[in-house]
Amino acid sequence: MNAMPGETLLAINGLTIQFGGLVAVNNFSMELREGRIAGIIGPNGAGKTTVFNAITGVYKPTAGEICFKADTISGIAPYEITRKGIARTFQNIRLFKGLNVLSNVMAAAGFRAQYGFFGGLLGLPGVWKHERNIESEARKYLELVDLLDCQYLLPENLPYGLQRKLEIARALATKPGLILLDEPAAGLNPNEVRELMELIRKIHHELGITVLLIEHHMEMVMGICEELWVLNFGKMIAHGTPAEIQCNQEVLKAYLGD
Amino acid sequence: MSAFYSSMLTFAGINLIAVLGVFLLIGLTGLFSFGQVGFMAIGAYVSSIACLQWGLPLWAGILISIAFALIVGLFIGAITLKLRTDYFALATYGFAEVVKTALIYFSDITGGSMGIFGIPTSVNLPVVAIIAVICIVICANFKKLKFGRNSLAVRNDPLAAEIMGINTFAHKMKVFLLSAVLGALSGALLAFSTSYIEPEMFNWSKSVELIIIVFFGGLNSLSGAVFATLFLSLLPELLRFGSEWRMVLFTFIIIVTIIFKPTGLFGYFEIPLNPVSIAKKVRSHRRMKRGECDAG
Repeated sequence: MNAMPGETLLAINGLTIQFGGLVAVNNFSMELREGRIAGIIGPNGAGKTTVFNAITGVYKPTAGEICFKADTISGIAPYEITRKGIARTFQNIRLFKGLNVLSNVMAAAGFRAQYGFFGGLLGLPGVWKHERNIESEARKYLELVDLLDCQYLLPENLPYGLQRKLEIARALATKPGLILLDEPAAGLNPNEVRELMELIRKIHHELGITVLLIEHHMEMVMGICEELWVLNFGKMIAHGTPAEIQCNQEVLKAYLGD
Repeated sequence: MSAFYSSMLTFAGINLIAVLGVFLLIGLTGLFSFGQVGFMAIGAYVSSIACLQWGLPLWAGILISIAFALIVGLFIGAITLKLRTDYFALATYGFAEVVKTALIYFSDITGGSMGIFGIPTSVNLPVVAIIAVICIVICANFKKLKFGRNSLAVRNDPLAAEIMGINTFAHKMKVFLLSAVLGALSGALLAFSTSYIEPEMFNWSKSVELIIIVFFGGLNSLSGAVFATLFLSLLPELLRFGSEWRMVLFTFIIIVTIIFKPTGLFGYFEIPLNPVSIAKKVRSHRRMKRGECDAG
């Protein structure tokens, strides 16, 4: 299916995450190649979001290792992982209230704005140039998700579907090589889901970003993912192409019961 | 201008500098600190001691007091900035109390509860006005640039901020130190305009006063903070309120504000002060009236 299987971008080796006695993720391994659109699926509580939280540094793995490109990223701070090129959105939308739509996107581009604290406070001339650069970049991402008309509105006043799009634009503003989308279709109507699939393809093709998503919306998963991992009770029970997964007995059992 | 009005405005300006620090820290970044008065005390005492006992000029005294506040701020910040907001508030309150107690205890240098007398009153209204304007410009730049966005992001959702590549701890530390510098500067100017300082001037109620001013003006508005400082510093004097009624008035104002306008007097509004931006707005408004496409 994939014409250009790239190098390994993200490698997870024997990832285990334990909260007290609960094993949320148990010895999970995966290898994601550059240039893919891939997905992690599984019933509620299977540990999918926990895997995302481990990749982005929110949780420290109990055991195992996560590598991005050539670096081990398990154990370093979330902001450092983001700066290495992994961006994400959240299952429950977490936009910055009080910052307008444009500033939300600019906030995510801030670490790439090349000016220091003192230069900024003194308002040195070079500072405003860098500021204009990230502003026009942020507008570019807003245009991509078709939110440019709302740039001066507050995100809390946007409809749900647009908030989801804004979260994607904000994640893109960190200029990632890999974007993690946590249930991007949750709460969207069929029309919005189609738009979202279009947008994910655009991110993949035009920006060349590898996509890993968690999703319950099967039509979307089967429609855009090239490769799937299936989790159940923290364990990987299947891995393969959507066609393979659809007729996998283990997976059917996990979703439908015996 | 009469001496009365001039000294009133001087104190309002000095207050404003301390308020700006609280505005950045509590207003924009959501770090609820009761420690600002501790940094004011450090500024007042270190600069006075440097000038009176070590014979240094005023500007050197102020610079030394700021450096001292930075060192203390770095230490206090390192141990408190990872705490949850309520614990952070308590810890900074403790810090301010420790400073006050230390001022009373080390009486050989600080004069104990008697304080320090005979500080030259070399700071007058024009000096305070110029410094205050510089501080306002610095804070306006802070708010407009990525630092302001980082602050609001950290205040709103620290986890999401971190995931968007913001080093939240480093950012909080920067704001804490900047606010400490503003506090120390304000304290030093206070010492050199009153000629006399004592530990009682740096009570926790002073921190509360600064916080009330910020809430009254609006947590998100620098213009609000400036306006609220001038209004609340000048009003009691103009109404000839005794200082014992000051706190009552302030408390009343904060209750009314929280009930009727929780975002503060100014909300998100900022007065545009940059002449270029005003001119731009006027031009684009005219263009819009003529029905031309507005690129700016």
